[in-house]
Amino acid sequence: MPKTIEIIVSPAGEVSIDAVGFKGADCEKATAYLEQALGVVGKKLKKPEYTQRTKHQATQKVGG
Amino acid sequence: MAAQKCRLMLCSQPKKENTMSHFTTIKTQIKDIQALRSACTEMGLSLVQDAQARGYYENKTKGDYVIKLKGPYDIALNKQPDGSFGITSDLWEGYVEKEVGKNYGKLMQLYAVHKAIQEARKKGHLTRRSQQHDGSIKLVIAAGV
Repeated sequence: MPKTIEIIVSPAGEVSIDAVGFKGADCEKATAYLEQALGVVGKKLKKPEYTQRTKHQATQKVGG
Repeated sequence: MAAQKCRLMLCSQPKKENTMSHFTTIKTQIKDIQALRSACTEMGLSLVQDAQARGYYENKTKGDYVIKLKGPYDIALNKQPDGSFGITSDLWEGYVEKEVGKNYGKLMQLYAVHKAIQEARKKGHLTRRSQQHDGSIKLVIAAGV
């Protein structure tokens, strides 16, 4: 399973980070450097199951 | 002083986790001049250190850095106690907004994109950038297998 980090930056400059393919705490570690570098963390949303990823992504609307 | 203020919400970080991925939303703060310079270059604007930003009539304000706009006013950036840069400009008549977006949105967007690419590169990770239909920019970072 390849590990990827998907970042969406809205036209308003808001950043959403989605870590895919990581296990447990690795997930937090994987994105921590980006969160720290980019600014203030607004909210974190744990995705209950990796398999629901597609569905979650579809509902993730930022800016616009 | 129109420094952008951000609201910080504390997040719980449970130790026990079964999830394999998560979403994080971040309010971008400008902290890195190199990434800011890349964003300015992409917008065709120049970034000058220790300069004066033009405002209404002959008003000027000093900036640790100033983004020189094509219109009549400029953007001043001054370092804040927390290490981020506060943004100041004369928003009269929307001249600034026209070039860098409402609430500096376009500037913040490109800054975040360049900052993320730069940070990923430091880790040796490849990044793929794509433009989305809603005006967002998507980055996919390959973080290993």
